[in-house]
Parts: sequence; C-alpha cells; structure tokens
Amino acid sequence: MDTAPSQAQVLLVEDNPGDVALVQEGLRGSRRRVVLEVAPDGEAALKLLRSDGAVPPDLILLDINLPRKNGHEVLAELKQDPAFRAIPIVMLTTSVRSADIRQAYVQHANAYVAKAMGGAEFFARIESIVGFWLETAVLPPR
Amino acid sequence: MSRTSKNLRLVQIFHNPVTAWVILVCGIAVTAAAWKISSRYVSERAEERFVHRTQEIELAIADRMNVYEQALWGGVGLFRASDRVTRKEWRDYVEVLNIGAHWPGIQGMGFSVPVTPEERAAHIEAIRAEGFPEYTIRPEGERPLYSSIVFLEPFDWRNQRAFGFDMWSNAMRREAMARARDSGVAATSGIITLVQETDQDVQRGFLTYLPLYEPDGDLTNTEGRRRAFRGWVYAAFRAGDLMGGILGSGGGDVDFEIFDGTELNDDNRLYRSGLAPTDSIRAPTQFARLREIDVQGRTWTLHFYPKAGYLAGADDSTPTLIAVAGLAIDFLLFYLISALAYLHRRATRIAEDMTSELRSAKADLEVKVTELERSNDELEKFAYVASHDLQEPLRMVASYADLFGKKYRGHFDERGEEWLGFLIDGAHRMQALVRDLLTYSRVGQREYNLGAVDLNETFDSAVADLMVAIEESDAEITKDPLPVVLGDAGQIRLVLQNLISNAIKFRDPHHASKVHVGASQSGDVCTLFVRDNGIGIDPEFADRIFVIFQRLHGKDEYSGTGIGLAICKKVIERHCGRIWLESTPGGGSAFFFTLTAAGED
Repeated sequence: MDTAPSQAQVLLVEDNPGDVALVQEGLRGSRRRVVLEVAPDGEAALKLLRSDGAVPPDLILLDINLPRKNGHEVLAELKQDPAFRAIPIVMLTTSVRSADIRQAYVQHANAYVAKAMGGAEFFARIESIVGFWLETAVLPPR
Repeated sequence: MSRTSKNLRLVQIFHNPVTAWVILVCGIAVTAAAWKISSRYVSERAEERFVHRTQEIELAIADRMNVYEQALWGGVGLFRASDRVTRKEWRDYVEVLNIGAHWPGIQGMGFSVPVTPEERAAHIEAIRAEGFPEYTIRPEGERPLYSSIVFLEPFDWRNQRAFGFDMWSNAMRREAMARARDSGVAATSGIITLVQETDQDVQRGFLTYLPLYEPDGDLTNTEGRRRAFRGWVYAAFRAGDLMGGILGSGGGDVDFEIFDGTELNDDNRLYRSGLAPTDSIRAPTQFARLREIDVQGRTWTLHFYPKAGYLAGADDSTPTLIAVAGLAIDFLLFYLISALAYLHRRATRIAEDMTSELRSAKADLEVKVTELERSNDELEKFAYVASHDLQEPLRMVASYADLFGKKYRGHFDERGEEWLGFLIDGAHRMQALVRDLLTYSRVGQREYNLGAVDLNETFDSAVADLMVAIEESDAEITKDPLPVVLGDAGQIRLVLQNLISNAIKFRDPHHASKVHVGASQSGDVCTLFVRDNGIGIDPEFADRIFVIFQRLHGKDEYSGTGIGLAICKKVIERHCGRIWLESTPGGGSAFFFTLTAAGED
C-alpha cells in the first residue's frame, strides 16, 4: 500500500492520564497519522462529539469506568444516535467482568479489549487495535 | 437408651441420702413386723403345744376314770355271779387286780351294804361272828338308815380303820351313794378326806360307787331299783396317787388343778399337779385353760396352766434374734447407702464443676470462633478490595516501567540499567501477586454457581489456557475419561489449571515432563489426581504447601506467588472435598482431590 495513509481521527474517552499517555505512546507506532482527542468523562465525550463544527472521529476508544456518564451509557447513546451509530467503538477497559463484556456487545460495541497489565502487552494491544481498525479495516466514509 | 436412663434412675435412687433414711425406716418397720410375727408364731406354737398337752392330760384322766370304773364293774360282776360272795372271794378278786401295781390311786376296793335300824343288831352280830369281835357300825348313834363297809381290800391297817364305817352318815358320800342306788350307774362323790388318812401325806380323795341289785329285781325305775338294792361296790381314791399314776413321769410343761364342781376355790380343789399358778403365769390368758369333764355324774373342772419358765423356752430367743439381726442389717444398709450417696454427691459435684468449666471454656471458644470468623471475613474483604484497587496503580507502575524499559534502555549507565531491571521485575511480580490474591479472595467472596461440570471439558479448557507454558516446556499432558461432578465450573477449572501449571513448573529438567490427570469413583465421591514426573515434594512439607504464600523454592529457582495451592485448597474445601499430596522428592508428585459426582438428573 503505497498510497500514504490519510490522517485518522481517534476519540479516547479516558479519565486516567496515565492511560491516556500510554495510548498516545501506543499510537505512536502507527503507520497512519493519528490525531487523538481525549475526553476525561462520558459527558465531556458526548459534548465534544455534538459541539458545532466538530469532525466526527474515525474510531472511538471508550473506557467503562468513567465519572459522570459511564462507558455503557455513552455507548448506548451513541449507538442510538443516527449521526454516530456508524462510528466503530472499541471498549478499552480494565474490567474483565463477563457482565460488562456482554452488555457492551449487546449495545453494539464493535470490539472489547481489556487493558493489559503490563506495559509491553498494553502496547501490543493498542498496536493491534490500530492495526486492525485504522489500517486493515475499511471504515465508513466521512 | 431407655435401659441406660433406667439404670441412671436406679443409681440416682440408691445414691440418695433420702433413700438411706427411707430404707432405714422401712427396715426398722420390717424388722419390727418380723419380730412381732415371729413372737406371735412362737407364742402360737407354745399355745398349740400347751393346748395339745392339756388335751392329752384331759383324755388320760377321762380314760383312767373309765378304766377304773370297769374294774369296779368287775367287782359287781363277781357279786352277780354267785349267791353269796365271801370275804375271801372278794380278797382274791382284789388281789388279782393287784391294785398296788396296776391301779395306782385306789386306796381300796370295798363293798358296803345298807342296814336298817331293825337289821343293825343282827348285822353286827353276823360280822362279829366272822372273827371280828370289835366290829361295829361307826360312828355310833341312832340314824334312820345305816350303811357299813363290810369288805375292803387290801385289808391292811390303813383300810381296817374304815371297816364298819357308815358312809351314809356323811352327806358328801351319801349324795353319791344315793345317786348310784337310784340311777343304776356309777357315781363319784365330791371331795372327801378318806377315813384311812393319817396325819402324814394327807391327800384329798373321792369315792366311786357302783350299785348292786338283786338279779331278778325291776330295775326300770327308781322305786324298783331301791327295792332290789343290795349294796355298793366302791373304790376309795387318793387324788394325788391317782393323778400321779395317770401322768406317769409328770405333766411336762403343764401344771393343772382339778376342782370338784365349777367353782374354783381352795375348798373345791381335788388335786394340783405342781406349784400353785402365780399371777405372772396366769397373766397371758391364752395359757390358762379350763375344761369341764363329767366323772361318773360329777363335774370336774380342770384348770391347766403353764409351769413356771414355760415361756422362757428355747423358741423364745428367735424373735429377739430376728430383732437384733434385723436392726443390725438395717443400720448396715443405712450406712452403706449413706456412704454411696455421699460418694455420689461428691462425684456429681466434681462432675458439675468440670462441666461448668467445660461450658465456660466452650463459650469462650465460641466467642473466639465468632471473632475469628469475623476477622477472617474482614480480612478476605480487605484482601479483595485491596487487591482490586491495587490493580490500577500497579498497572500504571508496571506499564510505565515497561515503557521505560522499551524507550530508554541504553540511555542509562550500568547501574541505571540494573535498577530499571529490578523496577520492571518487581512491578510484574507484584502484579502477579495481586492478581493471585484477588483470585484467592474471590473464591471466598463470590457466590459459586453450582452445576454439573464435565471435567473433560474443564480439562480441555485449562490445558488451552496453559498452552503457551505447555509448549515452552514441551510437556505431555494426558488424561483418563473424567467424570461429571457437581460444582462451580470456573473454580474447578482454576484448580485443574493450577495443579497442571504447577506440575509443569516443577518439572525435572533431566527428562521430558509428563502430566496425567485421572479419576476414580466410590459411591458419589470422585477422587481426581494430577500426577507428574517432576521434582517431587518432601512429605514433610505435604501440608505446608497448601498454606498461602508458602514457597518451598527460591524466587530465582521457580517463579510463582505461593497462592496457587492455597486457592486449590480453598476451592476444594468450599466444595466439601479434600485435597492432599502424595509425593517423594525426585519421584514426582500426585495431587489428589475429591468432588461430588453429579447425579443422573
């Protein structure tokens, strides 16, 4: 693929700055240029998406355990909203509770990835998310 | 159980001080009753003996009187047999009887004839003519009717005093003589003093008269009998000699008095066998016996009474013996039961003390158990919360340590590089520890989902999870067909996974690792085992390995947190099973654990 990959827009909904930094670090290895926007909680994320002139992201990375509106609520709202329902949402969370996993898919999450415990593993997972969703998969056109 | 409680009740009864008193009182009552009964028995025996003896005496007297009467009737027969009985013939008859030897008590047998005043002179002359010039009818004096003893044998000096005596002149004799004459049967007189008596050994006496009639007289009525009357055949008795002869060697235990008539006074007493009855003897009325007998028309009253000392016979000691022995036994029993009761009380007190100590110890223990359970519970909650919340910051530490390692390796000096290595290693070990701790506390915290678990599937799933480790170690994992058990699938998988993982981890580096999972079943208990050919474990540590954080090897030899087997033990015990190890160092290990087989349904 010699056509230079275009810039990709990613929204990360994550309250933990440490995780934000790790994700940023993980995205650094991507072949595509990734513009990362971060929302520290669920409400902020929705507000950001719905603000005037906002460009909808190509991919949303959504934590579950969030202040104010949690990941499940954000997911449900976005998947019911025709304006956002087509955007792939990958749940990125420490929870491995089967209830969380199941609920996410029922609400039409596109993938569920657990945050790995170690740094190396974490980066590997971020890389594989980017590799699939931003490099392999063909996403709906803007 | 009812027999035990019955025995217990028996023991309680006999180990009771009240029982001792009750038994003492009852015992004394029984002894008293026995004493009374035996006393009565003895006295009844004595009375029986007494009555029997009196009957013997009474019968002997009556018999003797009858027999003596017969002897007199023999005399009557003699007169009837001939027209005229001579003095010599009468003497012969009496001699044959041998009165002295065979008829004791008869002073003499004689013949007396009635004599009218008109006949008197001729009568005296006739007797005198027989060679008795002194003969006369005594006492002297004029009387409307006389009688005279003409024959009296034996005709010794004593009897000769009565020769010619007019018995009709004496009222007591006359009554009997008239009665014999008028009735035609024997008649005995009242008490008299025989004419023959001297001053020595005076005995009371009586006379028995038999009437002699003309052979052709009319004897059907009194008048006829009087007309035909010829005289009296009679005997004179000395009562002392007569009764002495009847009783032989004495009356045994019994004395008696004979009274003429029914009035008991000294004048009427014909005979007394021994000492006069004393008040003390007379007192027990059952021992005084009065019998009336008819002796030839005369009523005699026999008064029997026991000889002095009769009651003090050998039998008398029996009631005393019973009383003494009975009381001795009573008090012995009382002492015995009192002692038992005392011992029982003491034993009971000791037992109660021990019981109360035990009870308080048990209460203490229960409090401690409750405390322990609570603190254990809290500890588990704490462990869960702590390990759960520790995960986030730890993830950060580990992730950034990794990040450092990745980005900045080569940027530090040698020491910096080493420290970074320690940082990364420590963070990862801590992560593993926290993860295992969380797993361990989850086993206790989470409700477990009971269901049928096919261990074959569990095995496959566990092996799949361990695939990386299995491939790295080139281990061979095999299994027998495994049963379906009852339990929480996730937790049981944890057990199998831990055991297989351990088996691989502690493999013997000198040969290929082989792990085998098998099962056996007995009833509804399934015993499973995970056997390896690894380094084995010293039996000394067989129990310690199941304790949390216990490690037998250094961290640099074998990795691990020391929680795996503690988790296994916790899971199995929550399933009401057992887990144990059979192993020898160098000989491999076999972990066994039991689970409940799932039923058909």
